[in-house]
Amino acid sequence: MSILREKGMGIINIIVILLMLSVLSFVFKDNHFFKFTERLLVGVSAGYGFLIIFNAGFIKKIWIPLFYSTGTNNFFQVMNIILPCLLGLLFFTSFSKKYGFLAKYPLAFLLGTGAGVEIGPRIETSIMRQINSSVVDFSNLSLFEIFNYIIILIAIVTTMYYFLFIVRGNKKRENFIANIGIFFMMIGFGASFGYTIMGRLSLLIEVVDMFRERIFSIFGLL
Amino acid sequence: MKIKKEVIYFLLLLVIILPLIFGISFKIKPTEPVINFFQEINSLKKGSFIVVTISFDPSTKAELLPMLDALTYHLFKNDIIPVYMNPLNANVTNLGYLSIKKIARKMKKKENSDYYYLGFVPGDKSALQDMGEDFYSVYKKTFDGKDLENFNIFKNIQKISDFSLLIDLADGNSTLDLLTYINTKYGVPMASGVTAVMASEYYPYLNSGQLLGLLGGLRGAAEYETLLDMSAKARRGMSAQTFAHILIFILIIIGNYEYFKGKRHGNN
Repeated sequence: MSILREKGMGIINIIVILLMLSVLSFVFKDNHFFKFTERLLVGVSAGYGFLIIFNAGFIKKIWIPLFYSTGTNNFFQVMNIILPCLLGLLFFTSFSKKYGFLAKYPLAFLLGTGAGVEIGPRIETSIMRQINSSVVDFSNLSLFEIFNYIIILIAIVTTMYYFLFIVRGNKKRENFIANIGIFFMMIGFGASFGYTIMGRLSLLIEVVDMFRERIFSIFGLL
Repeated sequence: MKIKKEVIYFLLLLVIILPLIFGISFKIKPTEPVINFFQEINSLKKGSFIVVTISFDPSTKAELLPMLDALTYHLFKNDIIPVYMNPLNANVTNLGYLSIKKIARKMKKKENSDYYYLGFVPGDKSALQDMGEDFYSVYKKTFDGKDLENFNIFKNIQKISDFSLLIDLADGNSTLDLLTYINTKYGVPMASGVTAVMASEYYPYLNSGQLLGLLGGLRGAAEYETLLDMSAKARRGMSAQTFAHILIFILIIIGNYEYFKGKRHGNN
């Protein structure tokens, strides 16, 4: 059994290595091996995702409660499952010219409830608390922290100035303030770009490391 | 001077392969967001319940799986009981589960007593909202099909605010969603581990105290491993990362030198 398992792992390792090489071959030129692997990845990911969502969403939340659960015998509990399903099914009417307008109802429901639920907490999280954290009491802070907060204040004011007032002015003073805003934005973009390079390199490192591990395990070096 | 792209790719591959083969490693100095993350977990009492949401795809496992491994190791070491779930990402279900199981086996921790894995539930943000009101309206069973009601330990938990901490490992907007629906609305303290690309986006939430700690990309994972005194994937990867950065620096300098040289000769 263990020999079979080892052989199986060996075959899987070889398949993984071939697929990795097919993807990396794109570095030189687009080719059929790359296209095959790309489609395979998309197909497998979509299939796996569908299966998980179908099982967790349809089977566990609709099929089992409706047909196998003893707890769902109340009329309201049944309707609580059936009505959202019917609303969801209306999305499929968009394929019909005659009844396509019905798809707007679930869409409106989704957008309406989504906006209603989201706007309040989102404003609190991303605006109010951020404003609160920008307004600080200097009395308990060290000199370095005060200096830091002053820089943050300058960055906020000049960057907002750039977005809100730059269209109006040609005056030198206005451009000077906007330029400081641009300077701070460039620092932000630079940091994001640096992090992006780091992220992409991490992916490459993972691929190379996995490649190394698979080859070593084929030759029994791991 | 013209350098062919194949040469650049080859050099990049070389500077990544060599440190990995020869096991070269550098000293990594942990930064404040990572230290805060680490201390936040250390400050939890033994037996505390925390939620770990795994919100990344296999495509970003290079950065986030080392974080999950190190975090799991830390939680098990401190006897904290993590409840893992992935309500915002279906595709990571098995990846996360297998990785946690592997560490649990090594550290002799039992599923459904020392840790719980609840898996994916559909519903996205509405599922998060519901967890704030009634945890069991969203999750009734563990990933392996056991009823949560049967576990005594879950009797103290009715809603998400009964957990001591929420940690999100994310490659998308899930951290912001959890901040909005769980942290802001129900006051659950929160820390996060994100991909490098997203890290700068979340620093304002760290400064405002909404996030108690932040791990950013492979570097964040490597710093965390340093604090845990473990040498795993992230630290090994960071040495390759350092060499790759040096190569990129050199290529940028060469590129700029050639650009300005060409400009001086009137050739763009």
